[in-house]
Amino acid sequence: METLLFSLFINGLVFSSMLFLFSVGLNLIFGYLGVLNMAHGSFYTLGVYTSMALITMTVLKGPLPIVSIFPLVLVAGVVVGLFGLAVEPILLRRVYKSEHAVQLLLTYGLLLVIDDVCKIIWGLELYNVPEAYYFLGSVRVLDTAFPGYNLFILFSCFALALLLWIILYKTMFGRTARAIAEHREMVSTLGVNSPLFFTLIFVLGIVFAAWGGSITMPMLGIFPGMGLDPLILSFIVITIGGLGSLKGALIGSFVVGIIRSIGIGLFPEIDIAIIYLIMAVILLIRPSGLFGRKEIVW
Amino acid sequence: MTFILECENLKKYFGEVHAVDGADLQLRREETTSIVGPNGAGKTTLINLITGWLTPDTGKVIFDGRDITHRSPHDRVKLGVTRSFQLVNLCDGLSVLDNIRVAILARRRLAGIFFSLVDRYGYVSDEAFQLLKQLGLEDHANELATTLPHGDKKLLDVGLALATQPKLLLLDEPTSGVSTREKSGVMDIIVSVVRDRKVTTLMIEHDVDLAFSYGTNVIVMSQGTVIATGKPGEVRKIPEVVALGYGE
Amino acid sequence: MVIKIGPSVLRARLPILMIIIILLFIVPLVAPSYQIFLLSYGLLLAITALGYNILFGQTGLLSFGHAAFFGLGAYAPAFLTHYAGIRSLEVWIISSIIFATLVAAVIGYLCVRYTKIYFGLLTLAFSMLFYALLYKFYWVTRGDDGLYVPIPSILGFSIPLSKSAYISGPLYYIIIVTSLVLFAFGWVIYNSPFGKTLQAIRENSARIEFLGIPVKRYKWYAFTLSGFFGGIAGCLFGILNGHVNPMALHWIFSGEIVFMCVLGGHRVFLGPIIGAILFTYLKTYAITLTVYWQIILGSSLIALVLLFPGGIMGWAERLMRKRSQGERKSLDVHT
Repeated sequence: METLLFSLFINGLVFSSMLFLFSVGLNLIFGYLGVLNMAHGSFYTLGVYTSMALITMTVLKGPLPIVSIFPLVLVAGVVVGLFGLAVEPILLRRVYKSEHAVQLLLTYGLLLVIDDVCKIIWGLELYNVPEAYYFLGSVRVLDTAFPGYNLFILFSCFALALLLWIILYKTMFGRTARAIAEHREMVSTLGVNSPLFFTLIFVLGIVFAAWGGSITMPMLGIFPGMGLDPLILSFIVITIGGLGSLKGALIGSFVVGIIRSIGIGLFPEIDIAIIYLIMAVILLIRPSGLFGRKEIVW
Repeated sequence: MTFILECENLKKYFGEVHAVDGADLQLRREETTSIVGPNGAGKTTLINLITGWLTPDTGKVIFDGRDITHRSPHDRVKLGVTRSFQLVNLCDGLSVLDNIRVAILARRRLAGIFFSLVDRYGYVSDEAFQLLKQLGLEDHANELATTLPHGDKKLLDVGLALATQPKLLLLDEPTSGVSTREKSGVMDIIVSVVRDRKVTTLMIEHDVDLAFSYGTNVIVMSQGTVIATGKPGEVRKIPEVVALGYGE
Repeated sequence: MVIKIGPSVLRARLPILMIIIILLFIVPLVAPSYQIFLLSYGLLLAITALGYNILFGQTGLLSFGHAAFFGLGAYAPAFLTHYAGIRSLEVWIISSIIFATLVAAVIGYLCVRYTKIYFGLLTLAFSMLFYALLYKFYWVTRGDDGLYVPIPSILGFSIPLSKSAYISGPLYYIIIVTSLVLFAFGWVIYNSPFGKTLQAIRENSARIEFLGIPVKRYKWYAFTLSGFFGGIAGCLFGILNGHVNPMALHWIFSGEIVFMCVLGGHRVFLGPIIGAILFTYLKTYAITLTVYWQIILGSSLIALVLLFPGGIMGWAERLMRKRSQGERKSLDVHT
């Protein structure tokens, strides 16, 4: 019995890590730019395809050793982020002052476009990079075996959370970004190049969204429409954890992940329905989420 | 009850700041009174206390014999105390006529009707048009409120308040943002409308000359209290008032 | 000269309306059955969008869960057929209306206490909850496979027609009449005291509250009304399509409904109707043109949002306004 509970717990943690990786980019963009990016799942998808392409080219068909997968998945995210350098100034910036419906429709349009672009480039096939998943083998923790890669996912979650925390709270960039988010008009009068910060924050959010995809790719595989579930799950997690809060993103992910794990253990069908139920309940009781800021631009 | 409004020893502190520090006030029915005072004198806070946007720390607000000190703004509107806003507060996306019509529909409890056209209620449109005519806005009736020039927007803002048929109207800087040339034009209209409708009016006016010309009474505030009240000509001679720079 | 909107314009446009109505009635005599199906589908979406716009364009509440009412309206005939053996059109329609409106009332009551994004997310959560339940409880709903909806009987008489004849015949006329009635109802609501008050709430809910209007309650009414429209449309859709599936409740469909309203112009009465019909045809033809229709849809959406925020009707109104201003200017010159 203990081993079952322990497995459920670790699997819950792994799932939670995935939720965090999926959702933190969305939370970042929403918290700092005030826009709910419907195309979030598409950047996730781009991260997946990019990392697959990189790994296939350099490791499977190329000279690099299998262990380069670790830096490659990170590189994939950054590559996708560069794409964000174009998207923010050209498209997103124009709708910061618009109605929410307009913002959502713009990013939804982007979702459709990116999805089809991926279809054009990579087609509808199902891909897989099993070598990436299995090369870490199996790890024994307290008498139970877990795929090593899953534990890598767990590790990445904490490592990237730490990285983000350092960026946002310990660097000049982060402090300025937070100031801009809270007091937009005032800061621009101090001579800060706000538009540049908006672009960089967006790129940062996109990079994390792509990392959500590239890091989990070996485990989840590649299939058309794969960005939809992470998108929905991200919405749910940031609603529960709190809009615009890094701490909330982390804790929200773990709350959802653990509850779902238990739920699945008890009633396998409930699965996604229970997540929506949690979301609805949290919104009813505490709309700003567990750790959200009450004063939301939205 | 000769006074429609009485304020007794109103105090409102925001931490160290004594926004209103023992203000007393009496307004007679149907009179037009101006309030003047330097920035920070407590004029807007006083209006907020009277209309219910703030609750005083001590003191009373008595309207028409009733103690309304702790009543919600909503209740006060129902009792007949209404205000206009310094920053224009309209329904921008609606036409000028509709802005007023909605207020009248609300007052006449017709707002919930969804199975019949609003035009069927001719008396509502008539009342709205009448008010617009008094405000000089009838030519703009079908234009969107947001397209009006600023002075007309201020008039419409006052119009929205008047549509509730208040007994007491509080105006927070009705000519703010209006060019100096047009200020007296706007004031002429406002004062003639409120006098015609027999609405007791209390208005904050930053332009001192305007305040002293248009009020039958003037209240001078400074540092949270009322330092003088009375007819414009007399008040202007009081030394403390002159000291503030409001003398002749 | 000033642009007048409202009943006087209706009187002026009456001849055009009569022509359109007559044309609509003639359609089955001249058009192939596929076109009839498409038009029917477009009209049902127009009803849905119109109802949704009461909440969105008029009251200013961005709900992401409107598909739920459409979908629940669609499932009512399916459940009634499979579990109660009822195949009567009248019972189906009444049940859909009651079911969808009731659910809208309950959910609406919970949701209107919140504003802006929390409102949107809450509606999203509820609609996806229904979706997930319909999807997962396979033994009741057949999940993804969905349920079949047969041809119902009308006033007790069963219709011995083929599916195709039924769609091009009785069902089409039922849909036309229902659409016209509901469009008229929607128009009355738009120009009613209630409709004006909703628009005022959208513009400045705080000030309206202080005019004595219980704003939350009015938002609730708007929500419930929008569910009513969605329910009827969903029911007729179930019959038209012959089949229901949980995707009818998915937020992607909710998003398309929002798109339809913005496409046509969500601040104008006709906007959702025009947007829905246009969207139906655009999507259908985009899909036949290329398998990459999402790029077409997505780029049009982006272009729409950046260049024509008022939608098609908004653009048309601006054109009309410019033309009348041009006339006025030339008048001034001559005086």
